[in-house]
Amino acid sequence: MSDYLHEAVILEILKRLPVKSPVRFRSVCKTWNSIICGTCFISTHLQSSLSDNTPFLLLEYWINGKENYSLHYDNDGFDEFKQLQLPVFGCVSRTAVLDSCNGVTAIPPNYTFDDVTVAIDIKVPFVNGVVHWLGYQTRNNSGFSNVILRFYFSAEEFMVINFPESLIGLWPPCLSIMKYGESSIAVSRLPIGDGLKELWVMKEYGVFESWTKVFTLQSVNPYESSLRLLGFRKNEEVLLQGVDGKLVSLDLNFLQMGASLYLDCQQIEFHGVEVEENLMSVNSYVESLVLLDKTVNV
Amino acid sequence: MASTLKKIILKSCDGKILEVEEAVAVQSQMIKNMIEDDCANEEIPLPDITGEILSMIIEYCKMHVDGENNSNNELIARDADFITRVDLNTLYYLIVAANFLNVKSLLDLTCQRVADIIKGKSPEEIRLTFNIKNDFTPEEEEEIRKKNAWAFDYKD
Repeated sequence: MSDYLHEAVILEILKRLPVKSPVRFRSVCKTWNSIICGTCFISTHLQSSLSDNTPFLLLEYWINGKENYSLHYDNDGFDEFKQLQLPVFGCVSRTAVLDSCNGVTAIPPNYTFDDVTVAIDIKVPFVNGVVHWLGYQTRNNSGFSNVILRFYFSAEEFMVINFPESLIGLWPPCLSIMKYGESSIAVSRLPIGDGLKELWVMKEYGVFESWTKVFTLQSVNPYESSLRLLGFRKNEEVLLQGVDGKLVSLDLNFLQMGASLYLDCQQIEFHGVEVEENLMSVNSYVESLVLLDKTVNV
Repeated sequence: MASTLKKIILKSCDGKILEVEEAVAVQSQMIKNMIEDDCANEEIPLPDITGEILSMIIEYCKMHVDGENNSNNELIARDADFITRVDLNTLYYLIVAANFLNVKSLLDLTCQRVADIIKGKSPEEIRLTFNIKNDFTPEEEEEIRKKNAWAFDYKD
């Protein structure tokens, strides 16, 4: 092989490797080390991994009294993708603490921390090459306020997106962030043990003023309290799943923004599609949806 | 049609001249751009690409143009046959050339091949394979290894 490997070529090769190999190859030489630790490689490798649909788990743990965060591939080996340097926030929300047991038990025996105390697993919406977490920071004398942490892989830095005022003081597990449209985010409010309550979208990504309340669900019967938000379609439709497994969609174009929505099963028939109870992904069911817009009483 | 018969003339760094059908040449995004910009009427000099490597790339592009109507599986089989005949040294020059000429499918194929070859190797084997000098002090190397100990479990 040549005495001189062009960096672009090394990058092309390394990004096609499973995550363990480049990490091991950091000790080959200084050039390789700096390529592999470089933001260019990290984001390229991330892109190819994301295209393989490998989700990430965020692990929070304590070593010698110090809080650490690392990002892990949700694969069999629970491989570490990267250590994260979190800014001065109190901590990231434990939204999905209960789900995290799987993440922790997936740690292989040879992968041990000195003192793992907490592990969290957060759904990480990936928008605009940025991942978003729900976090909170402590406020002076008044508890905490919720924020959205965005992490730029290319720059390796955290930024903050503020929530709409009415969501700032809520208990974090009541909030859930998801991707909206091609390039923005939405927040749904769902009281614990209850169904969807409120839906907000950020119409223009990163612009605080563009937070828009899409609707508030009014409790008039048991039906709507069990609605689960699954996601958005490209054409501004919201996908919801009822407790009976029926899949329905709401066309946002037909809604008056911020309206109270009464979904009364006396008046409304869910023209939904029956799906398996363990439905996790929306994508494969999207095409078979029936619109609900004509029967929604706004 | 005149345009389909048009030949593109390529000149390697060691002076070899190769005439290539336009349909084959445009597998290279770089050459395609040159044709669109009307810059491909004269011979195109290709520094850093030897005649031997250039012939291989043209063989590959021709194979893909000829095999356009073949099934995906057939193409994959042909790709595999093409790439397994290439040694590591040649692979390197193929990657450099595919990168320069911007033949994406060939770049994918060659880089994936190298990745497959090296993925189970140790850092020492990588240095031997690529003739790389270890410029870490023993302490620095130990530090990096310690930090990434989990990656030294080679089983997968």
